[in-house]
Amino acid sequence: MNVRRIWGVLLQEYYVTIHSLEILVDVFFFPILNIVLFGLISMYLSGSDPEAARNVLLGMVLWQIIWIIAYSVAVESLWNIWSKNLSNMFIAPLKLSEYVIAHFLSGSVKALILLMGAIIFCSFAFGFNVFDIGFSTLFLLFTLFAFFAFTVGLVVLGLIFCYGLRIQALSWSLIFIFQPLSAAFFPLDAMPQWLQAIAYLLPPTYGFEAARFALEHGGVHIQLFATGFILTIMYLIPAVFVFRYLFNRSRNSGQFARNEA
Amino acid sequence: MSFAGNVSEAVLEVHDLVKDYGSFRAVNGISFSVPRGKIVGFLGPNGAGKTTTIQMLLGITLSNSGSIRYFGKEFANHRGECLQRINAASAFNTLLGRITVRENLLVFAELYQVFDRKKTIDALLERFEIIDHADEQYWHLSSGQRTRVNLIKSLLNDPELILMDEPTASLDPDIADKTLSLIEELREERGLSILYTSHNMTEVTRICDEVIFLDRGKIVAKDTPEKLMRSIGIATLVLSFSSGQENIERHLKEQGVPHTFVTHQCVEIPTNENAIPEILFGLSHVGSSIIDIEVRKPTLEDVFLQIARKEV
Repeated sequence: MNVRRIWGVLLQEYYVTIHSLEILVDVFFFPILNIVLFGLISMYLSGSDPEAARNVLLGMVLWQIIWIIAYSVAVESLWNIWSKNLSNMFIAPLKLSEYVIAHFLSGSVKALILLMGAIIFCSFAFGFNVFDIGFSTLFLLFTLFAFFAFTVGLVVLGLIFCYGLRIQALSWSLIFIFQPLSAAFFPLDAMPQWLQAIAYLLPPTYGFEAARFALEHGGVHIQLFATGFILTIMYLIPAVFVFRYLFNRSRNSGQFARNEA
Repeated sequence: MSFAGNVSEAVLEVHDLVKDYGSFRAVNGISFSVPRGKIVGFLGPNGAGKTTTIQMLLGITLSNSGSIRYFGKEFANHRGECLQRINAASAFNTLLGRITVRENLLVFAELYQVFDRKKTIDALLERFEIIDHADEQYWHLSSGQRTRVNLIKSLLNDPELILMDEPTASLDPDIADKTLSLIEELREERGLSILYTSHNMTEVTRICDEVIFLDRGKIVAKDTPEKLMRSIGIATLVLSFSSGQENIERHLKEQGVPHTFVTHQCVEIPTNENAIPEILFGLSHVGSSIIDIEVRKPTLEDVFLQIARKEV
């Protein structure tokens, strides 16, 4: 693992972001718009159900961590493919692990910046302090969601390497499947039984439950976080192998080079 | 045929390289080497397997079997070390269009861990006369400027070998000529080795020390451009005359010499170079007024066409 090569990919990420309105819109504008929308819904609900109101807004703020990191890992490689520059990256001594770790770090930094902005914005605009859930819970949530998003982003990126740009839409859409399934905006027991069975398999479900617990009762729900992290590891390890398999398969089939044809 | 006899050190050695796409064999057991300081042309018709080979040499496509060795080290086992000492430039790969020339180069300077990256980049930008465009977004550059930036990228790590895939494609003749001159200068200054693919036989003849012809995944010819051109043996004798067309035509028919009258005062005679004196001697006695004699020697393009048309 070489720090300068990781820095090189991060530098590229930084340059592409500041020059691309599309990325700024995807990573900052839409998330803030969603937070504003959910903040207004939260204000509307606060009269009848203050708890639901806070859960909805908290869920949307925390969801941005998952969205931005999954987006960074998968979508931002597309800029290299669209520009026919991905081969240039991989004919340099850059390792695959350095490349994906750089994208993970880049997504984490973006998510952190947005989260800080969202926390300040929610405090001023809606009188909602995200830090009410506690710094420790917020830190654990960030870590849990970051690794889950990385897992999803990694598989999507592998699929794009392997099957080409015809499935590129997955890179910004697939992650949204997990939004309703992991009970981002409402308690798990509000879901139908059969959907709960699916939700229990997803790490973010435990994170969102732990966030709601912290908001209501205070403190860190160790058991929920432990389950969430164990599940994340159980998905992340095979995801790394699947990603490597898909990358090698794309080099074997010639698809990796054809992606830029 | 092999270059091994006059090679003291090969920077790239390829042995029995095979690539299959399903049941289709794109590269069929090719072996060759690139000697240090030499430019080796890698030629062939479309679909011959050149690009697949280059992709395998760079590790972005995996081979089915065979070995690739850079500087005596197996590429598969020393990927990072080998890639640090080589580079590539292709007309078909571009840099990131959204970001500036300098930003693109800074990224690659980090990937190649270039020491004193800003100084290195500025020196290359000056050398390639692109310094005035350094802060423009890459997609705003002309084809010629992009080619020069791609070449700068390929020189950032001071490579010992560059794989060039049609670097002058889509360039106008003037810019292509300047690019070739730069490549020649780099070879002289740095003792650079280059594996060079192109469809432009004139530039291959100009800069390549050795040429490999690939067809249907196999190497079908491998030699210096001069020897390959000589191997064809057929030249074209072009005669211009002011009178006596009938006499010339009668004589050539009698002698069984194939010919084509381009105009009433010009005839083209494809023939073995050794037979030219005899033809001219015969024609000097038939009562015609020959005013110009031109011998068109075979070019690398003729070799290419023969191979493409399966005449070799």
